[in-house]
Amino acid sequence: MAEIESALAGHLKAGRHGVTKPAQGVTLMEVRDHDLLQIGAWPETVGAVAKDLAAAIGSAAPVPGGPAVMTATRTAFFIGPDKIWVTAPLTDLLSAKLGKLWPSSVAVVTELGHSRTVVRIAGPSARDLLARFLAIDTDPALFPPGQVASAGLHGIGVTLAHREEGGAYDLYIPRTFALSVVEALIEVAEQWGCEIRA
Amino acid sequence: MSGQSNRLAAGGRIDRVRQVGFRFDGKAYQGYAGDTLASALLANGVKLVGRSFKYHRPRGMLSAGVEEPTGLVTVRSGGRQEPNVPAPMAELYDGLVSRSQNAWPSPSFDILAINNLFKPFLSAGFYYKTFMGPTRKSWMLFEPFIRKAAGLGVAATAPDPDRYEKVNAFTDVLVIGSGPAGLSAALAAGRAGARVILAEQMPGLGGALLDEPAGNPSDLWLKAVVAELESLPNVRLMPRTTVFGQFDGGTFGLVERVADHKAEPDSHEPRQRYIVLRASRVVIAAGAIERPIPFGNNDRPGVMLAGAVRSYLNRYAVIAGRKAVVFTSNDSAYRAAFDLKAAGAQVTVVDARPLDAAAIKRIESKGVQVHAGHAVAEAVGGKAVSGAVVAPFDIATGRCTGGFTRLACDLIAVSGGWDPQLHLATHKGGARPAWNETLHCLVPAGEGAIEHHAGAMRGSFGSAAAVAQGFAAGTEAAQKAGATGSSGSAPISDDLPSGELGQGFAAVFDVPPPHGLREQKRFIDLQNDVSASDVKLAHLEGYVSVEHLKRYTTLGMATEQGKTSNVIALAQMAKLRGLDIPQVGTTGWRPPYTPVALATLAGHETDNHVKPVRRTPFHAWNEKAGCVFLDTGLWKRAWYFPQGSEDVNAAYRRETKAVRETVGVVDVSTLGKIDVQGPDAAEFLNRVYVNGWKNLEVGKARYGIMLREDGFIFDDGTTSRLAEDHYFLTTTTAEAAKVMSHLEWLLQTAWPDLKVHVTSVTDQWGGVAVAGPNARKLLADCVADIDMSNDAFPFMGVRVGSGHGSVPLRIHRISFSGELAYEVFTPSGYGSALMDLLMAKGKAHGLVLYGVEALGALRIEKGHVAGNEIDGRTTLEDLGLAKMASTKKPYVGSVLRNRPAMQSEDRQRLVGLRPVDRKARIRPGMILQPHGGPHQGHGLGHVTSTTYSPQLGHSIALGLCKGGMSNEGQVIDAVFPLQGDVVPVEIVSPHFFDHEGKRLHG
Repeated sequence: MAEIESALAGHLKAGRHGVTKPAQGVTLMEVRDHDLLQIGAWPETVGAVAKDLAAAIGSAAPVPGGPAVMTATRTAFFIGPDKIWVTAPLTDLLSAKLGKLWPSSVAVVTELGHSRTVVRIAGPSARDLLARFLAIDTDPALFPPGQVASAGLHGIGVTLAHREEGGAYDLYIPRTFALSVVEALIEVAEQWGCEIRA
Repeated sequence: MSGQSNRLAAGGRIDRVRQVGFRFDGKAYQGYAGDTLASALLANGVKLVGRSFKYHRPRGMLSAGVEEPTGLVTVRSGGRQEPNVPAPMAELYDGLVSRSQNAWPSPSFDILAINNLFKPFLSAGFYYKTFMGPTRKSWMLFEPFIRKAAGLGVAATAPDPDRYEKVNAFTDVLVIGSGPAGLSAALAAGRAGARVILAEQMPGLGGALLDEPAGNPSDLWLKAVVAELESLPNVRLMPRTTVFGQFDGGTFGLVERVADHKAEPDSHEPRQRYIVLRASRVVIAAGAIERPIPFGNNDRPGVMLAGAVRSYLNRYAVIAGRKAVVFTSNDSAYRAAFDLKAAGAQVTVVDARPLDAAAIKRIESKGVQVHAGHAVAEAVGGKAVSGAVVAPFDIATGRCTGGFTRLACDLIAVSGGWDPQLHLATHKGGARPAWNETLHCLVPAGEGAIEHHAGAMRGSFGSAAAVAQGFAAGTEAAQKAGATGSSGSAPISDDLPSGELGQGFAAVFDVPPPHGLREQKRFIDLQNDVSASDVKLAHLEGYVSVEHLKRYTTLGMATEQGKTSNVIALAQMAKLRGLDIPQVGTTGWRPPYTPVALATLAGHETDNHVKPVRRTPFHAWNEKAGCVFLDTGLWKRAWYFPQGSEDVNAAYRRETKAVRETVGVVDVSTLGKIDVQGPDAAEFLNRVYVNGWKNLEVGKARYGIMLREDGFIFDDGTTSRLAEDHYFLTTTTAEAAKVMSHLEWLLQTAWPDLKVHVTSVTDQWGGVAVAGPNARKLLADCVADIDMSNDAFPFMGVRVGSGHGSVPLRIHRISFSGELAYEVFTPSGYGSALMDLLMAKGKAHGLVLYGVEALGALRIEKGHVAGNEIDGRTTLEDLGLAKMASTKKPYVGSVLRNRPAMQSEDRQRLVGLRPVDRKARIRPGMILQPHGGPHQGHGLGHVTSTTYSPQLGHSIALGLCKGGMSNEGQVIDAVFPLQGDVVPVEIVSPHFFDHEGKRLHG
């Protein structure tokens, strides 16, 4: 069975980088073995599709412009008008489950699991690092856990999801740009100390 | 304090415990922590710091702030060298190295001071008059000398070793300025619960309060307010931070000088930080800049702004002169006069206003002499002031009215009033400056949509008024930003400075010499050597608009930006035109008002991060295989795979030959890939492509061409039908993003009724082309569940399956090379697995890796058009593709492509070209001209693509030539004027190889 290779393979050196402080400012790790599907509904079907999806993945139904809905392993959120992204472990075989759930008159499904490299950024200086790349106001009062936003990062369209209390963020980077972006993230994060976790 | 002859024994806000050493023009000096370079130089008795821009006149410090026009120096050295730094803004640190500018060998003895003798010839418009018309060409001769003689500092040539960064920030309320108004605004907004950022360009908070003597009661007020602000978690105080511009949507540009006050930044610390701040509201409390008064030789070192003199005295304990003449038209200069007197100086005030008796009594009670109704008409001295020529002065006429006397002095402190810093309020074109007849200055006329103005910036020069205004502005700003807390009461206090003379403001914008005194230059813009006579000349020559005046005289150029010159110049022009100042108007401001280093704007986007790098899913694999990459846009594309010492030419010829003979693999992942799904997908494709799509079967692919709305070709590619309502569309590498946004735009605006989703899947799928006679056999060895036979998998067929090892595959039998070929796509994470599989099975079939150079050669041999031909200017007819266009349906561009000019037979159309002398080389971009000449102008067309054809053994090319293939067989000339090349070429079919296409159907 062929292995799925990360776009960052061989380039992330686990351990501490940059200044050494008692507590690391930023931790950075790649989220592996997750699938990503895009569900494209139509204006008149999107509400029903969101409910169908919720039933399929065991979460609440996502709402347009609202926060991501999450279970322990699955996440769903609106990425744009009538379009929902859903992530789950590869072992969930999400594509098989959702791929034939709807006729195209109700919704269409596009596989995007290989199209994005997901990097989880956490630590006391996570927001400082993100501020150097993204024009997203990550003040927890305005961008609480579950909130998702898309923005340009050095001209590349990326998506940021605030995963959990305390400031852990998932950054969805187009795979072909991932190594370049992550190299820049690490370089900038070194000023607070950056721990790369395998 | 050794050598610091002008440093007072006590006072100031410097740290006397920390003595620091620095160098200026190679000489070592001492100063204190808390000094600026300007204050430390003045403390050491250095008044002459450079030479002027044009005339090389000796210049010293005029001010104590960012407005400094003449005390510009170069600081640091090597890669950190920074020119044109205002010495009052350079914080002193141990080891600071600085030097003067525009002076050789030294400011004290400058060879080019001879320019001063030629000043009648170097007037405004010198360049226009001297180097336009018949003498235009002489500019080339004189330019190097002029550039050497005139100018400011010199930029570093060594790489800057420091790092910079760019940060996005957000706030509810931005407060600009930390004087009484700004601090009060921040306090009000902070107490109300708003997120507040207070930006202050100087190192310390307090603004003008820091000019008060250290230990005075206002320090208590300042300490208490700052302490409360520091205790508020929602307030961020940012000293050393300049707001340089206001932009749309509440966006502000800030530069934080993180480490400029150190010899080097700490490890990983940026030197400067560029902050893009989005604010809901802004309180502009940027203060005011003192205005000089032009009089004869008013540029001599020792002529300073009165507020600056006081600033040096009270902030840095530096006395700028022991025998001072204070020349003023308003009350504020008396603070400097009284403080100088208290510090032990002999002080004489020359006041242009006729003062009342009570005021004179009060002044004289301080031990200060005063000449009311007088003006300083000329500064005496060369490299330093040694006296002032004083004469009676009539404010109403603006003229000296009697004989003059000379006062001995070593300092002339000047105050012509104050100019509110309203540039940030005008950057968006919102508030226009309006003339205030009482204050004789420009004030903002109204507030922008998110703005609140407070303090001296709006013409309220008293501290108590500034506090009240600032607090009210902060309260309102917080409320409008959504804060709901209480701001409490304003921090009004008796501790704040007060006590003006109450004599009002007088307008003095020029002091012409009294009768009997020879006229000297009266400078308006000291940085650019623009004087009253230049304004007069501009007026005489018709440049009477302030916009023309500025450009004709260079007034307010460079770092000066009108800070100390703008109002004086427009007032003088108004007088010359016999108009009021408001009738003349003012030039506007645009950001940046204060200089911003380009490195700061670049931030961390330097070196490897100038632009993001885009790598295909096969990049790592290609790299291991020894690939040489070619930058194509942001992509790293596989260019060629050298063997041994092969260069690109040897490699691509070998690779091309091998593809024709056995089989090759090339990475084509950079093609744009778009997933098109929905019940109306076929109808959608039918509208965007010129050819029909509704009858394409599932499991088949079709070549398609899109036009722009104007009828020119936009892009081409193949699209495959994967399921009834599901298509996989490919675009060229170059147009991928444009096509994607074009399709989205059409769906969202033109055809919102179509149920179609388009999604970029360029990153989802990696792809390789497997091409050559052995391609089918190779793939048959690799796939696990696809029948690769010609019957089961015909040309333009599409199959989905997997390779050995469960590598998911989508295989499209399409060919760009003209060979039996397949494009094999796999989810990106399986890129290396696919290549491993192909290589494992490939040896037996003679597999070679090839790159885009060979890919280009293969497609040129076949006459397939690419980006060189689809260049945005060609039509379907031009490229011989008109037969593809359906006549049974409309499509984007279908109407406008039929315009007569686009159908003209006279257009340049696709041809093949081969050299008459087969050994000759056809270069890319050669111009096609009639054989034997004349070789003039644009000729018949141009060469678009060239290659050496290993199959034919000579150079071949594609081109666009007038008349196209109707001229087949004709010989024309391909010329390359830059090198004098003329290559006779024959017009032939663009299909050089396998014209019948037997190989791809093989």
